[in-house]
Amino acid sequence: MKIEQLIYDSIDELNETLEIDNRIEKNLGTLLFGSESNLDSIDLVGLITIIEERVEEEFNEYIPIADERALSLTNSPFNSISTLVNYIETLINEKR
Amino acid sequence: MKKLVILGAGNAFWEISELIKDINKIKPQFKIIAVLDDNVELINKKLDQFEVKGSIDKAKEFPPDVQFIFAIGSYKTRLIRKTILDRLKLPENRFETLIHPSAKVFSNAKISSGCIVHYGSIIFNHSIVDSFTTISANCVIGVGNIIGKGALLGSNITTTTGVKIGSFSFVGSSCSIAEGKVIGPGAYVGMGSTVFKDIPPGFFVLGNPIKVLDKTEVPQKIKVDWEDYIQNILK
Repeated sequence: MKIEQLIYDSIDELNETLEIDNRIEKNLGTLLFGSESNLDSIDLVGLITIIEERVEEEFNEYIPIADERALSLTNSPFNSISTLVNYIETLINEKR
Repeated sequence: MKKLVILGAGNAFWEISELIKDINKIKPQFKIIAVLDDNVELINKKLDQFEVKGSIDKAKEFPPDVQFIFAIGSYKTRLIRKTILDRLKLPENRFETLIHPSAKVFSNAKISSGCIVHYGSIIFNHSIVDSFTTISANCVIGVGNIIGKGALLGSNITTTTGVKIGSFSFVGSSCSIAEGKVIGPGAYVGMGSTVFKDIPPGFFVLGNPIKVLDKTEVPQKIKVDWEDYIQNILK
């Protein structure tokens, strides 16, 4: 499964728990963090947790997404769905 | 009665005003004579019965028998607090430490100037709390903790033995911090988090297990002062 689709499936799962106005759109430009994002911090944590679980199911390995390494990058992987897709693909490629 | 000027007319003012009332019920000790705040819209307005008499810089104009309470701070302003204190250039002993009568501070714990300890909190033996730290209601600060200057702790926080909480950091309500863990200076631990590993300076973490979500650049001076402070204690 492509990582982009895995994230969209995770968003579907998260959106089921959110009020309609707070749900997030499934496109690469959707912002995940910061004042312009629809997600508050705890919902972002929820989304990351769902993604980590789905990545583990898909690749049979737990890969932490939100750790110190994520913030060692110049641009946070949590800025948008696009940056998150790229970051997770990098992490998975390193494990292969 | 000691005369007090409260620096800050935000939410913390109301908490501190109530805290002073509770202290005075046991034994009258403090009298608020003024409130200062940089928000021009608040100047000349009354909070409770106390007038906001001007900007915070006006603190320097009060005579030496007046003590101050530093009532500014939230997770957003945790680092700005340092800038405000530097700007004031008032000696630390001009800032009063307030401890609620229902709080328990062990006799061999140390608390410096300008700290606030709210209702029901407990600071266990051999813990050291540096100046300008606020510990909100019902916290349990474990044995031998070191809490750095200007740290802000929400309510219902539990720290176990040997925890270190860095200067000008913010720990949200209902967090738990495991034995010996270090929260770096300027870090922000979101509400309800459970900390089982060290948090680097300026990191924003949240959850259980914690997720690292963001980071803020922490001025070098804060980091160096924190390291020096720890080294001096451990000597």
